[in-house]
Amino acid sequence: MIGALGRIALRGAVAWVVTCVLGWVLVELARESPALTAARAASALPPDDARDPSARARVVERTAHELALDGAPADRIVRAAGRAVVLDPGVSWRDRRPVGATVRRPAWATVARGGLAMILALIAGLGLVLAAGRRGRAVVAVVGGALLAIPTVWLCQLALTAAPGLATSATLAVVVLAAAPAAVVALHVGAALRRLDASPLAIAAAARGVGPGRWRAVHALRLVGPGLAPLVPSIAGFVLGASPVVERALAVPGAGQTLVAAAGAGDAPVVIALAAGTAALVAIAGGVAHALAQRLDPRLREATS
Amino acid sequence: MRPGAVARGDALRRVAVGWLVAVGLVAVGADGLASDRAIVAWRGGALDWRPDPRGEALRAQLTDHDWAVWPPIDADPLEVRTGGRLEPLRPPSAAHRLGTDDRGRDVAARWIHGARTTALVAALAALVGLGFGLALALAAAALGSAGRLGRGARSALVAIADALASAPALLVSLAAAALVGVRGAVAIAVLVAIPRGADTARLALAQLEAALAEPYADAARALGASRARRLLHHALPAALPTVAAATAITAATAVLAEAALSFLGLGAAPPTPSWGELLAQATQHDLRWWLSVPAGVATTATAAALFMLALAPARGSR
Repeated sequence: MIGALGRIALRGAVAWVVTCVLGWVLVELARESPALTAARAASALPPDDARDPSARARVVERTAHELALDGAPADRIVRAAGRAVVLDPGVSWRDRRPVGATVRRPAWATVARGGLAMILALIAGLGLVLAAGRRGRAVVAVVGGALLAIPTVWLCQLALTAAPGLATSATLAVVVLAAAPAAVVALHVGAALRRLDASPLAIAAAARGVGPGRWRAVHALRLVGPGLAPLVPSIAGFVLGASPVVERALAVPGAGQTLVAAAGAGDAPVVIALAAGTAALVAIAGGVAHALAQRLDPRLREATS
Repeated sequence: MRPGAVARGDALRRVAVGWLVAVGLVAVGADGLASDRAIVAWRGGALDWRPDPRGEALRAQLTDHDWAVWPPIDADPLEVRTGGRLEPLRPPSAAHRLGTDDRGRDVAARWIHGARTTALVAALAALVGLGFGLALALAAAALGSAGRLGRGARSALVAIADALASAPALLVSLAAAALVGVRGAVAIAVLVAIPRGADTARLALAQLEAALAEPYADAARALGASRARRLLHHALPAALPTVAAATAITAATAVLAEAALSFLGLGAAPPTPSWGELLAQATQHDLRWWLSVPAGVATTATAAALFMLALAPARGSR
C-alpha cells in the first residue's frame, strides 16, 4: 500500500518537474528575453517613444535582477528546475506575489469541479448504457459521438441558451465538463458489454437462469469496471484542459480563467505552474486509477506482481 | 456485426467523407464563393479575371455592353465596404444571408473563409502528427531489436511518448502558445500534433512489435530480409489502419482545439476568419444565433466526420 502510494506520488512529482523544465525551455525559445516579457507583464516598460532610449534597457535589467532572470538561458533553466524540485513555482511576473498564493484558491475550485464532473461522467455514462440496453446501441453511439464532436465552447453556448438562469453557475460548468467524458465512458462500456454479451460467460450465466438485467448490472459491469482505469488520465486531462474554455464561456471563476489571464499577460510562472499542476494531477489520477483497477481485478494484480 | 448495421455504418461513412470533401472544396474555392471581387468581368471588349476595383466601384464602371460574374456571396470576409453604412450584428436578411458580425462583416463570407482555416489546421496537424508519430514508432521498434543499449533507448523514447501523449492537447497548446508567443493556424496545428503524434506513436509501436513477432516476420528473417525491410515492408502495413485512425483523431482534435483557442483569443490572428472566432463573437454578443449556430454545426460536423473515419479502419480490419 505504501509502495503504491509512493509510486503514485513519484509519478506526480516527475510530471511536475518535467513540465516545469519544458515550460522554461519554451520561455527561452520565445523571441523576447524572459526579462523583457516579465517587465511587459508587470506593465513596467516605458513607451517606445520615450525621450530616454536607455530607460527600457534599465527597466529590463532591473527586472532581470529582481526576478533572477539574469545569466545565460541554461542557467535560468537549471535554476527553474531546482525550484521545481522543491515545489517552488516562483513569483508572478505581473504582481510579484508568490505563484502559490495566486493560483491556490482558483485551482481548488477547478479541481473540485473537475472531480465532480468525472463522477457525474461515470454515473451518466453507465446510466446511458444501462438505460439504452441491447436495443439502444445505436442511440448510445449517436449520442456519444455527438457529445465527443461538439466543441466545448458551443456546448457552453447551447447550455446557456437552454438554461439562461444558470449562467455563472458551477452546476452548469460541471454538467458541461462531464458531457464528453460521459460519452467516452458510454462508448467504452458499451463496446466492452457487447464483447462480454457474446462471451461464453454470458451463455453460461443465461443457462443458469440469470436474466439480462442482472447479467449486465451484477456480472458484466464488475468485469468492465477495471477496464475504465486507462481512460481516467485522458478524462482527467480533458476535464482540466477544457476548464479554461468552460470557465470563460460561463463566467465561472477558477484556474482556467487564471490561466487565460496569465497567458494573455505573458505571466510565464503562473502559466507554467498551472500546466505543471495539471500534468501532475493527470499523472496522479492515472496512478490511482491503475492501483484501483489492480485491487478490483485479480488478473491485473497477478500480471504485474 | 449484422448486415443492417454494416450498411448503416457504410452510409454514415459515406456521409462523413462527403462532408469532409465539401469542407475541402469550400476551403479551396472560398475566394470564388464569397468575395466582393468579381470572378470574371468583360470590360471594353476584354476578359478580366478577378478584376480590380471591387464591389460597387466595379459595378459603377460597367457599361451596358459589359458584364461580370460575381461570387454567390458578394461580400468581403475581412473588410466592410458598405459605402459608409456600418451594419453590425444584423440578423440574416436578403443582403446578408447569415447576418453580420460585430464589425458589420458578412457572416456567410466569414463562415466560408473560416472553412479554410479549419481545413488548414486539420490537414497540417494530421500530417505533422502522422510524420512525428510514425518516425517515433519506427525508431523505437528498430531500437527494440538492437541489443541492450538499443532497448534502453527504446524505453526512453516510449517514456517520452507516454509523457507527451498524457498531456492534455488543449492545455499544452494554450500554455505553449502563451510561453513561446506564437499564434495562428500553423502554430495550433503543430502544438496539437505533437501530443497527438506521441499517442499515434504508442499505438503504432504496439502494432509494429506485434507484427514483428508474427510467424511471417520470422519467415522473412529466415529468407534473409534485413531488419529495416522486415520493419518497413512486413510490419508497417499491419500498423497502417491503426495509424490512419489515430491520424483522423489528431485532425478532429485539431479542429476542436482551433475552436477553443480562437475562443480564448489565442487562435488565428485577427482579422483571419475562423469558425472558433465566430463562436467567440457569439459569446461576447448575447449568443446571437447567426454567429453561433452555423459555426457550431460546421465544427461539430467536421469533428464528427473525422471521428467516424477514425472508426472505419478498425471496422474494416475485422
